[in-house]
Formats: sequence, C-alpha cells, structure tokens
Amino acid sequence: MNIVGKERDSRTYDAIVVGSGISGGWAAKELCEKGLNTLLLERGKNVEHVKDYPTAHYHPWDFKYGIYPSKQDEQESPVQSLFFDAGNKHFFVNDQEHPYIQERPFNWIRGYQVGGRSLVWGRQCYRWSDLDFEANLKDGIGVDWPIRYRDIAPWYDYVERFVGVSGKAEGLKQLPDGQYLPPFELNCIEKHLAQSIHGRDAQKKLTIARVANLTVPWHGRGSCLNRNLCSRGCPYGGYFSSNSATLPTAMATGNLTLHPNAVVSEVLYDDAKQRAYGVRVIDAITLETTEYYARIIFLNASTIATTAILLNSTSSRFPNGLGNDSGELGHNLMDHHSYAGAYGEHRGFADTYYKGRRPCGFIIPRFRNLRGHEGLPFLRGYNMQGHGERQEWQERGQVLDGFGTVFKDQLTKPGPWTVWMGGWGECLPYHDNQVTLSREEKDRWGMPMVKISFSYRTNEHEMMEDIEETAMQLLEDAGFVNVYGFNYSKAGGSTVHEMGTARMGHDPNTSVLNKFNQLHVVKNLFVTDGSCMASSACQNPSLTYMALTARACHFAVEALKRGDL
Amino acid sequence: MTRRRALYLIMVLVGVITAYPLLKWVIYTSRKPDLGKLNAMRPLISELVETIIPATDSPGAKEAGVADFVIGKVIFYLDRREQNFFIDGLGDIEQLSRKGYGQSFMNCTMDQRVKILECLEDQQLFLHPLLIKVKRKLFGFSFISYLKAYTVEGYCTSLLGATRCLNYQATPQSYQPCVPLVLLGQRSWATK
Repeated sequence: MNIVGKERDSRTYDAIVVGSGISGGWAAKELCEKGLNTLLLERGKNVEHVKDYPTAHYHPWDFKYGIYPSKQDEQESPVQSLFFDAGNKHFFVNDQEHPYIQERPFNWIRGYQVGGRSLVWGRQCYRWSDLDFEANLKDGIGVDWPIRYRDIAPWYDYVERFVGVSGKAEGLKQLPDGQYLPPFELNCIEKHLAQSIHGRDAQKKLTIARVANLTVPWHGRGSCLNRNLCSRGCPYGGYFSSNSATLPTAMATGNLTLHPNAVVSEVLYDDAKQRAYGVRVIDAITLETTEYYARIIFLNASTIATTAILLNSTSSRFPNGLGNDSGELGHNLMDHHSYAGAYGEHRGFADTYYKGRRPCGFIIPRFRNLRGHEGLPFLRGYNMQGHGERQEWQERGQVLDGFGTVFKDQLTKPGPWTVWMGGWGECLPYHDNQVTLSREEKDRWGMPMVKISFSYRTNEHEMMEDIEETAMQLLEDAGFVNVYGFNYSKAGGSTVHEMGTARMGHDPNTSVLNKFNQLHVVKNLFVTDGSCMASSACQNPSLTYMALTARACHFAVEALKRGDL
Repeated sequence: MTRRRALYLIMVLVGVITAYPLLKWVIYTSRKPDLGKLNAMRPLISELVETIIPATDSPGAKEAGVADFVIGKVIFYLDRREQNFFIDGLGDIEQLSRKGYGQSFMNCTMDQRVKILECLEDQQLFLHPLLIKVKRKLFGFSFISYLKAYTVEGYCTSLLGATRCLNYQATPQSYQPCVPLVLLGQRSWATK
C-alpha cells in the first residue's frame, strides 16, 4: 500500500505507544511531557477515570446474588473467573472472546481496556536490589542483567514521587527504601507477630506493605478512604492507575492521542533503513486495518502480548519474529509462585478490633540466601506477605455448628484473631517455559493464537516447602494455635506476575533487548513491560517496569535530540 | 458355602454397593431439575432461613429477604446435579418433620425446626472425612451445607443484616488498627 501526502501525515506521530496499562501509561506520560506528539494504542474499550467505574459505590446488597462468580461466569471465563468477582469482572476479558492455547497449564489473566490491569493490580511497590540484579551472573543462570541498582535507583525515586507510595523505611539492603508517604499501621496481631519474629531472629523483619495507596492527597488525587474496594476503580483516585494518574497527565500536555479498540497486529520494519517505521492496527470492532507511523515505538502490551506482536512481525530479515536473532524471543517465561504459606489463630487481644478496611497487609522481606548460598536445597529466595484480622462471618459461617439464636449471635461477633501469610517466591528463567504462536488457529481478528507452555521446577517446589514450614514455625513461635500450612499448587500465571520472553542482556546473541530496553537490532523499538525481565526476583514487579519505562523514555528522547534515532 | 460361592457373593455385594451411588450420580446428573418447584417452596425456604438466622433484637433472615437470595443461588450458581440434590433435600425436610413430629415443618415450633436441621447437620458431622470428600466429588456439598452457607451469605450481605445486625461503614475514611471492641458495639464488620 502506497500512501502519500496528507493522508500519511495524518497518521504520523513522533512516537507510538502500544498498550495503556501500568508501563504504557508511563511511556505515554513521559514522551508527551518531553514534547513528543504521541499516539497511544489500546486494544480494549475506553475506561474514563471515575465515570467508568460503575460498581465503585455499590453496597454488598447491590449485588443481587452476592459477589462470587456465577456458573455462567465460570463457563464463559473459566480462567479469568478464578480472579474476578461481580464488582470488577468488567475489567477482565471474556475467555471465550480471547482464547489462547495452554500446552501446559498457565492462567493468563488479562484486562483489555484503557488502563489495562493497572485498574485491578495489587498495588505493592518494592524495589529490587543488587542481590537481584547480580543473581544470574553469580549463579550462572540465564543471562546477566545489563543494569545494576545504581542505574535504576534514581528512576525508582522518580516514579515513586509521582505514584505516591505509602510505606516505612527499614534500612534493609535486600529491599532498598524509597520515597515514601506516611505508612498504614499494623494492627494488634501484626505488631505482636512482628515483635516475635524480630526478637527471635534479627535478620527477619515484619513491616507494613509498601503500596500505591495514598495516605495524603497527592498530585491532585485524594487520600485513600480505607474502603478496600480498589479493583472496582477508585472514585477518589486513592490508588495509582494509568486512568487516575499517568493518562490525565499525558492528556494535559495536549500531545496525546488515545485510540481505544486498536489491536496492533504487527510492527512494520524497513529493511533498507533497518528501522521500525510504524504499526499495523486492526479495529477491534469493524476489523478495518490501518497503519500508523512514528520515529520511535514503545511496546507495552504486557509480557505475553508484546512478545506475540514481535513474533507476528516477520520479514525476510526477521523470519522468526522481529529482532529475534538470538532465538530467545518467547522463551524464559516466569511467574512468581505465591501458593505456599500458613494460617493460624491467636487467643489474645480479644478485647480489641480495628476500624476501617486497610487496603494492604504486611511484608516480611526476603531472609533466605542473602549472603550467597546458605546450604538450602534451592537458589534465591522469597518474601512473605500476609495480613492479620479477626474472623468474621465469612469464616465463622464455615466453622460454627448449629442454628438459631446462639448461632446468629456467634456468627455476627468477631472471632479469634488470625494471620494468613504466603511466600512470594522467585521463579528461575527456564528456556522451555515459552510463548509461541499457533500456525493453524486464529482469533477473531485474524491473529495467530498464543500458545503457552509453562511449569514450575524443582527449585520452585523446594522453595515452597521451605515457605510452608517456615511460615508455620513463625506463627507457632508467636503463640498461634490451630496453625496449618498450605500449598494451593496453582498453575503458573496465578500470581499474575508473568515476566520474561524478550529479555534484556549485554549480548545480542543471547538476549533480545539491550540495557536501555531497545531491541539490539532495531534501535528505535523499545520494550519496557514485563517482557524485558531477565530474572524475576521475588518482589512484585510493577514498580520496576515503571522505573525502567521512565528511564528508557528519557534515553530515547535524548537520543532523538542527538539525532541518534 | 464353597469358596467360589463366597467370592461370588462378595463380588455381587461390592457391585451393588458401588452401583447405588453410581446410579444416583447418573440420575442426578441427567435429570432436568424442576426449578419451578423452588418458587413453589418459597414459604418453606423462608421458614428454613429464619430457623438458621431468626429475628432477635435485630431482623431475621426472613425479613431480610434471604429466601430469594437462596433461590437465586440455586438457580445461577449450582450445576444440574447439585440443583437436584438441593430440591430433593427440601423434600427430605418435610419427611423428617412428619417422621419426627407427625406434622409439616411449617407447623413445627422453633425448637423442633432447629432440631430437624441439627439432625441433618449431625449426619454430616459423623461421616468419615474421606466419605464426605467422595460424596462431595460425586454430588457436591450436602443440602444442609448449601442452605446454611447461602443463608449466611445472603443475610450478612443484605441491607438489614449488614446494617442492623452487623456493623457496616461504606466509607471508613481512616484505618484505626487497635480499637477497644466495646467502643464498636461488639458486632463484626459486615465487609472486609
């Protein structure tokens, strides 16, 4: 197709960003603020902050038959319905409309809308440290990260200052402190557990979660009102999402064009100039095809989706997917495990309760293998996340026998204090945990269906055993009773921290992206979502995606100014 | 009795024992549940939920409209097999009541009604855990488990249950981590 003149001009921008989730929102904001005329493409429907949060003010009785997914939900969305409820299901895809192939079980959780999964994320914000960035090199696993903590630290500062992260500085080397708003408070049982843990082992520390929920008004957004209904969208802007924060900021520059319902099928590559020159877009509703052009392109479609676009962008130069000289594109898919842990009850503090619904719990930062290998049957480590609360009707209803007046009285009074905690554990990169495209099956947009093959291995299973035992021990030491350990043994993807498949690295022969998230061989194409990760550490990853994105945007614009791109 | 004949008898016995639940499973899975019956049984369901959570100094499950909630749950949340099981369970209530007290459940006193439900729950309590597991796999949770769980959920999420029995705050504003329970009126929060 030859398009000349005005028609082509109207579809030409300085920059294109694909995907409006947590990293795409940042790319749009940064590029717009730096003066680039930016097109943001989002495959899903538009979601306007506040206006499109239909359930945000619903009371429990506004859901006719409760909040749990119905039989119909389970049939239509067997995977997503494991994660949504009646309050937020409109922010998850329908599995029947968006099928994928599980060669080995993998729960691929998706939110196709403006804002993506930043609307429903867990909001945990933890920095990585050099313990994480140096791990692959030290263990000889995968490829070495091309960056170290000092490269990303200022960018953590930068994004935290805009996001608004509440938390407490603890001076821990393995979980560096950041720019924090005042922390939420631990409740009685959590304080008790914290004292018990720290008293027995100075290396272990329990601290309040570091979360993107505001404890003071911030950049025009209101404080969190402790409703704990975040995943429905917050009408007060009490937590960070693309919709509440980055997109309005990008829009205010006047440089942003937002196109919802725009499914990117491939990145267009100019063989002669060795550059990406645009993207091909299928309208999600009319199925019409359009091309858009730009000097730089950021792919932020999410870990698996970004890689699918690259795999689908083939040319004579790149028959196996754009930028895939190394053959690593699609490989080394990771997802934290968060399925093992322990639960216990405590008989103390019976006269105390809490008021308000704090939107977060606590974290016990990593304490395993901090100084090299400690003789454990696994590499790397985990942190524990959990929360303390009193049993309420949801739990009491399951354990109380009987019926009538006494049952009602017991059901509606607070039961014993409890703590639930699980280990969020590192998942190593395995070459054959991978994403490929089906040759035969296509979706309704004519895109090859994504095939996912994933499993946890010995290192993850050994770690889960240690988590279960250790969590039980920590609770028993603190005087908890009826303590039991668990391992839900869920399929990969269930932590919704999928990472890897287009890893960063020094060497173009073994990695897809360089240290500034550029494709080694297509310099004006950047990938700054979870695809870029070379290892998974054990911290919740979104903050790192945001920091890497801001850093790459800065680099890209400087390079443009120098005429290097 | 010859050895062969003894073996034969044992095999027949094993066959019968395993065939019964299998047959039941086939029937319950294939039979189209008579959901119209649920609406006809609304008065009974109303009395059942009120027996589980009666009116005290706060409204009971009947006034809170929990019967409609339970019926909706059975229609939209259970599969065909579980629906059959639930509807048959409602019929069993009437049988138990006539056997035990010589009258319909509707005419029983509150004490008698509670005893009937306890009788059903006790049957579950005394089953071997493994047997309960197998039963659940084949038939889902028991009638009484579903009835009780749905009544609890329906009541505690209803306007009357959440606001007049439990403690509900739509917009708490702040989080106070350790408050004396007496200051909060002793009742649980309605939502987490």
